[in-house]
Amino acid sequence: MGFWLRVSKIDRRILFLLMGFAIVLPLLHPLGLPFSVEKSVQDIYDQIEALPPGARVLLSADYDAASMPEIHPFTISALRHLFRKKAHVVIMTLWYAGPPMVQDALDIAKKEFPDLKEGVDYDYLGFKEGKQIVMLGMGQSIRSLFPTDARGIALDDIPLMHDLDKLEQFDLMVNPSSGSPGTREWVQYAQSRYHMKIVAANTAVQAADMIAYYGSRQILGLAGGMPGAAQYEKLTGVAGTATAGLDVLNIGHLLIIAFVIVGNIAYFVTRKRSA
Amino acid sequence: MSTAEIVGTWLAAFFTLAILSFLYKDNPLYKFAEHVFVGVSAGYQLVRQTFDVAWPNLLQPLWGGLHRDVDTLKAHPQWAFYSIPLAFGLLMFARLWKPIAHLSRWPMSYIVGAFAGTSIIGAASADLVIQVQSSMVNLRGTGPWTLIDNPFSLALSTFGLVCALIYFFFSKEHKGALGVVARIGVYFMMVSFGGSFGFTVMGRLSLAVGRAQSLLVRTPLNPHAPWPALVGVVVVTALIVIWERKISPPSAGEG
Amino acid sequence: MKKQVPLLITFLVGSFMVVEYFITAPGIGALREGLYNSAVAIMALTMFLGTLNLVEINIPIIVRRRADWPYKIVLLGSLFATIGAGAWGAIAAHTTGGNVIASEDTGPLKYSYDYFYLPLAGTMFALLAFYIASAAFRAFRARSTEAALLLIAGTLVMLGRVPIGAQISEKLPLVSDWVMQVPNLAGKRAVLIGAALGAISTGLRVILGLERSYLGGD
Repeated sequence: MGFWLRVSKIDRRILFLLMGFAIVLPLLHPLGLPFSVEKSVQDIYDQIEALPPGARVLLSADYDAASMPEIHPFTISALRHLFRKKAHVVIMTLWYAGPPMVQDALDIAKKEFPDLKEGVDYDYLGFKEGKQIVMLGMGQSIRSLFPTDARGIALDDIPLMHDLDKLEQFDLMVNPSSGSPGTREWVQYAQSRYHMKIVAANTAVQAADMIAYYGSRQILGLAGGMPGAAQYEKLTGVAGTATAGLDVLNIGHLLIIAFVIVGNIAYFVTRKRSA
Repeated sequence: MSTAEIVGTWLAAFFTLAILSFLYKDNPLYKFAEHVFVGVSAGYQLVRQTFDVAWPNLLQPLWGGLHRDVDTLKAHPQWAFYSIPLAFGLLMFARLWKPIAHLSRWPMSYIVGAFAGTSIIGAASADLVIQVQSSMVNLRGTGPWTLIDNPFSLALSTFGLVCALIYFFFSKEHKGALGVVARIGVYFMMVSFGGSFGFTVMGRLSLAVGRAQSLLVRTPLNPHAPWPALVGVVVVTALIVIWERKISPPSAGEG
Repeated sequence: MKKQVPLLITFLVGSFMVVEYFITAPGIGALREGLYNSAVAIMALTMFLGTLNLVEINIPIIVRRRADWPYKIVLLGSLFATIGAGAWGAIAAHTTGGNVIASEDTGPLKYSYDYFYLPLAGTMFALLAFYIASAAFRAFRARSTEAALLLIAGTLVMLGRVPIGAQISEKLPLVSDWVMQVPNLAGKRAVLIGAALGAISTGLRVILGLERSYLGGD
């Protein structure tokens, strides 16, 4: 059997093993390559940076553990940035497995701000099922869908929520999202109807599609996948898991490209010979 | 860190490696972890739906109203109306009893109607109208060539969009000039799919990186890393070897 | 009657959801709110039916000792253990005067999420990284101009999105940006516009009763 024929029939488990090494080795020996910030991520930063103290921001964390490595670092950085700007942040999730993500991001981001008061500077409303129906309902009345926050306190008893009851009252919305319901639905039902200003952080798979909304300015900033989250960490000045992970992506991408090239050479050489 | 949390970090490492063992081949450890995953996620969803949605948005107003709870009466003066969605919701369970199973279609129709109606408005206003509007060439764009707010980039993108839409136009055979334009449209879409492919690779790799980080990097949640992962590799490998020997014992000639 | 009533409900609710977008009359807000709240409440109850279904399907497999029956015991065991964890937290909160809703963010349910759901869900999706590597080697062939374009665009984007791309050439991130923001945008917009037209026509077919597959048989 010729060399290229053997290469083309290689056991896939060898490919898996190579991929495993490409993931583990850079994690143990980081490359630490510098990276720049793209415009769509800078746009998110600029939108938050332009907020006056006390601006009302809605953060809907629409993702779960499955996409944690891509989105979660952004949520932490965005919350940290919002707290630095003294924005009043209302947090929620439309994903049933989203609440622990929110709690974890809040616990990490709050550490820098010991004076932050729940219910005054920020409040977490919890999870609500209903996809776009929840968004449309919040356009009418947040209270009717979220009678209480995640602590079980009625919204009327929360200082932050006293005169806040409709989506259109928010100055900005930040949407870390990894699918449906997420950025697409927020654009379709909250941006187009209530003219919300939205910035989003999406999984890489979703971000490729959401570029259409960024191109039409329906979303004003977009962070795509782990690189987007790493760039936001760089902007906020606190390197986290996304920055560390970006190092690994270097080698991973090179390996996949090598697989494509070698696979194609093997295909064309063996095809020519069999012809 | 409590004992339960320490046990938890070891369990998490075991489950991660049990799922990864599928890369070798389908095996009982993977199946075990897979079934635990289905059970835990279904159970978790039920608990969340109950305490975060069904209770505060349906049952609590009714319960509080019936018991003349002051706070409930203040928050939901028309609490009795919640009996309508409750009745509708309960009709779903009619499918468990054949003579009245057809009644379960009522709540289903409500939900289907609500989503059909809202999706018409959402798709028309946000996707159709604004996307077409944004494709109109703006010669005053000042952005660099790499971005869409550059006149040349927008013109090229709009040209590509028109070509791609013509490819989806099936009322006339794609021959002659129409065929050429449709083919250009396909090329644009292929570049688009290529971009999606690149992003997908990046996304999937990121998830694997995340799992590797949680196994190998020492954090407050995993203070013994990488030991649970290393011990887990040994345990999972040993269990798979035992299983393989059980399903196909080595012949007498083998060592 | 078995089908007429559901079709009427779909028609009334669906057409209201379309028409209300254009109406600003004062009374409409309360009606809207009522319909939205009802939908959310009904959807919350669907999970009970879903769980019942899961039990209904798996119990006979265990009882009749069908293929993989021991795993079904694992499935139901973890299902009930998680439900039990949630119930335990709620009961404990109720008896100690705490809040039932807040109890689910701590205690045993949180434990089941952190140490079972999180590693299992994360790793399930992480498996795809390995399969995409295998697919890159075996399936992504430049057999035609179209396939070659896809691979070239994909490679440029992969290189341009990571720091090593800029080390190879400073232009690579810019080229990657251009691919995503210009030709990719054209393709994505075409798909988005097509999908929007599809969603509108499907929505109308459902509301008008032309699409009835959701009603099932009989």
